[in-house]
Amino acid sequence: MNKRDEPLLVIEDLKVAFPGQSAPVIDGLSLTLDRGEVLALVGESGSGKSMTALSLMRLLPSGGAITGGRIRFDGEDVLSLPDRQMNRLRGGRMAMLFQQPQAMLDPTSRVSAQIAEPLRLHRGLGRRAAMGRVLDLLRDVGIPDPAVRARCFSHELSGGMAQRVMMAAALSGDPDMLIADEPTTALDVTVQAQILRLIDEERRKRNLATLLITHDLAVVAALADRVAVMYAGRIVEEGPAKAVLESPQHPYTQALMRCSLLVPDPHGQLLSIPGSGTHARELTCGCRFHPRCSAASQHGLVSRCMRSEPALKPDADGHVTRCWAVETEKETAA
Amino acid sequence: MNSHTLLRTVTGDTQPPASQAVRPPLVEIEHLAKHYHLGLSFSVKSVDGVSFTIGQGEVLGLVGESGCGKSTIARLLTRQTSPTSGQVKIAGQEIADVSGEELKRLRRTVQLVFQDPFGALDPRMRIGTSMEAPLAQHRIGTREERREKVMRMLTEVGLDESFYERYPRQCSGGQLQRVVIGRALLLEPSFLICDEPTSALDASMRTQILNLLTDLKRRHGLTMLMISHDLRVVRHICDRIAVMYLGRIVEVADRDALFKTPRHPYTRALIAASMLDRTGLYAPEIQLRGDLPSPLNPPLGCRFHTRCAHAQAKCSQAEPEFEAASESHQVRCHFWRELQPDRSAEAGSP
Amino acid sequence: MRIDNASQAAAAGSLLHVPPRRTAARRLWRFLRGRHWTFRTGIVILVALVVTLILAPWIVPHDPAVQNLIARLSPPSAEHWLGTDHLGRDLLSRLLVGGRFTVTIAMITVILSFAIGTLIGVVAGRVVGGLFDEITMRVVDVLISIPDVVVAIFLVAIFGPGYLTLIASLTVIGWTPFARLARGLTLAINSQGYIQAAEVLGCSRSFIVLRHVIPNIIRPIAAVSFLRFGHKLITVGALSFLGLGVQPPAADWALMLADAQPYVERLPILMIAPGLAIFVAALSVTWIGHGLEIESRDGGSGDE
Repeated sequence: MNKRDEPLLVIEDLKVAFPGQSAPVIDGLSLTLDRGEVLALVGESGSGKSMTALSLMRLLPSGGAITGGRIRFDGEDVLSLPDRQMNRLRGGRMAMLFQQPQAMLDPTSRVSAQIAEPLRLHRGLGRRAAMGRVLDLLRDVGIPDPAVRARCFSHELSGGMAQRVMMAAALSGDPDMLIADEPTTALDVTVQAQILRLIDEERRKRNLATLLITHDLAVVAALADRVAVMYAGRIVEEGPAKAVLESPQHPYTQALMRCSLLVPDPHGQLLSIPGSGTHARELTCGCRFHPRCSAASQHGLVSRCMRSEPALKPDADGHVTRCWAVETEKETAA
Repeated sequence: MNSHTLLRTVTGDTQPPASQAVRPPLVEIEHLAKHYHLGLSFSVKSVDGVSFTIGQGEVLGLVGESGCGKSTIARLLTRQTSPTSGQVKIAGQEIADVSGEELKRLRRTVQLVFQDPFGALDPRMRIGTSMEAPLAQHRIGTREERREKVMRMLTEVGLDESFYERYPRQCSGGQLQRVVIGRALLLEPSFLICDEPTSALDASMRTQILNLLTDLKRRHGLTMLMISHDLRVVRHICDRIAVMYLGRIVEVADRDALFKTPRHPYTRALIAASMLDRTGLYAPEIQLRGDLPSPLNPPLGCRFHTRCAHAQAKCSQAEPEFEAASESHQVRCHFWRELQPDRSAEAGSP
Repeated sequence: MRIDNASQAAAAGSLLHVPPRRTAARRLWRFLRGRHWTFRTGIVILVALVVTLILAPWIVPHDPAVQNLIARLSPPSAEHWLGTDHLGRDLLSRLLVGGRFTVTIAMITVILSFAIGTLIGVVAGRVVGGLFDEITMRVVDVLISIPDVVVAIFLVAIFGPGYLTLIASLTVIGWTPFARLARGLTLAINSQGYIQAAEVLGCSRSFIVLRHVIPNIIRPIAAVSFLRFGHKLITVGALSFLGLGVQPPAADWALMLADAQPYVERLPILMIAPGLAIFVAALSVTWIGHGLEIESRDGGSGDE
């Protein structure tokens, strides 16, 4: 296996399914992520973006199973690793930030103990060495008075502070990849900017590959190098952040952009996507977005969109889109 | 500070011109305070001397970080808790000392839309039952009439009649929030409080719910209080916006004035933070230092001075008064005159 | 992109999940199918047991009280399937009849304790911090530390043995664990959004308690009540064993156990049969409770 030429993380045709559900939660997802790069995975709840993160960590909720595809991390096949090595990978080279930082901290033990424990377990550091390292980490993530904060319990921390502590814990294993699952959704806007800045600084400092999962395009705009938009378990558009945000191709991405901006039209209505995507996965044929899509009728493609699903088609600069309307437009332009 | 200075005309571009006259106040809050006592010597001044009024048919936005006391105001207005001091009048009636039947009537007048639609509905009750029960409790209509009303309301909030038979877990967050709004409106309240109605929802659901609220406000002439930590959310729907920090209101202004010429440094930080983009991440405005200080022990002087980029010695000594920057624009800052109102010019200065 | 006021919203796919109304039988079937295996096994044993006990007077092969001193202590035979006791009475007949008393007493006691405890606990939990809460919880603290057998002995000593005395003395202590549990669960429910919503919507206190609180806490309490039932069964047996429950010559499992003591070496089945009966009855309800508890812990709710 050629370690050098390959991106740090390669996901190929990943499929995740839950028993009792007719449709897979993730259906043929392929992604790559390089060192030092921030890839944003965008979509509504239920689109499968969090499940993607959990499958990377092999931490799917009970019942969920990876039914197909491959995940390679630094040349190693993650899906076939023995549990023990997987554990080491999780605490070490892959780290994760969660939406509810407070809920992820054990309320009965001190912050310091929770960061120190993996250090002592995985790295075999002594009590004193581990504590010194904890204080360094807390200082790194911008916590004032680390010595005082280290003795706090999770309920004594504000949301922003707790997320910083989680970041310190994530960095304790010297990770190569950081998965941030809605890291700022539960935080106030002012703190949100601080945490995003922290993620940005750390990835520059450590050349961290970062998978940022969010439904907020403002967060994407602030941080991401590349964006992948998910809808109903599939990627519908992927490309450089600038390209996707400035000229979104897929009707879903376009709609999502307008929703996020919260800008009203001349009638004082906010632009929104009609309907909900909750059951889109269960569509058996056609484009999964077509029931909510307006581009189809505009281009006179309704029957085509209903019958067969478009494939991901690239344009010149690595910007891929899964949409008949976009494809037709390009053909006519050519 | 006179609360009537806050009562003013409204110029929202979504409003018909007829409503641009002075509206009689529906909600008047004066020097309202709520202190939670923790043990003998500690108390959290969650709301500390807040005054504002909301005119009939007006939508006021209340914005601030979590812990600033905005949800406590919602609890005070719905009588879920009683104020430590100060007055709350709704339609001219002091609500602090009502009880029994009168309280029940007040509850019809003031309704609340919750942040978490999943929690706000009993998981073991069908949606129809959940919506009908309050009507029955208020002895409104016969059983058939109530059912009829609920069915009509389901359509009005953009659902269909099949939802009547469903359980909450069979619905999405956006659908449940519609149910919660519908349930509140069934009692035909004159004042609707929305406490972070969209923060538990996706971007696309968020706009749907905001559109629905705008629609309902227009159709029913609702007076509303929109509570949120996100200025983008209140921008669309509100006529006037109040910014709260650590139990105090630091700035009140018309919606457009607030966005065009924010006077308080905190408001500016909030605006900058909610309009993030790549360069914005490192913009000086959002460089708020640290977190909200503990309300257990708020800073002396101006409460914001510990995080303010413009703080000077005076700020840590004396708390600024609420001053009128213009007829409809009040701000609580010593240096609002000195601080450039133009945000683009501001970016480079300290 | 056209804006839509979401009349389409519902149409877009959510219509797929409207639950059809089900008949009672199908709902019962679904309910049973969705349970843990211990629950199903427990139910089967308990139903069989209760049916047998109800039908006992009509299906007993011999009169359980008739003595036949010539055939005393005879081993199992075609005539007496389980043999006879020291007075020559048919063991099988006595076994079938002897469970009625114990099971009935235990059942009534548990139901009473369940109802009283839940109601008191919920009310205390709703007015938490108030005088009622304060007093009831101190009473619970005191009562819960007294063993119910001791109270029963005391009351039987005063009022003499009998159904009512036994039920009363077991209930006096029996409601306390339910009250404590119900109060705790109510406290957790109090902070739920839908309770606050009901208050803001102007719903009355009794409505909130009856329609919101109780339906949402009943499951774990029911689980405990089944666990307590097994415990009560054994307590009633113990009291009868001490001579405070059923009086001879009426048959009772625990009494049979006591009577069999001197003869256990000659005819072990005299002791094994009633012992096994108590064990199986207690086990079945404990399993039901266990199954329910697993359900409520997993938050499963496949019953609608």
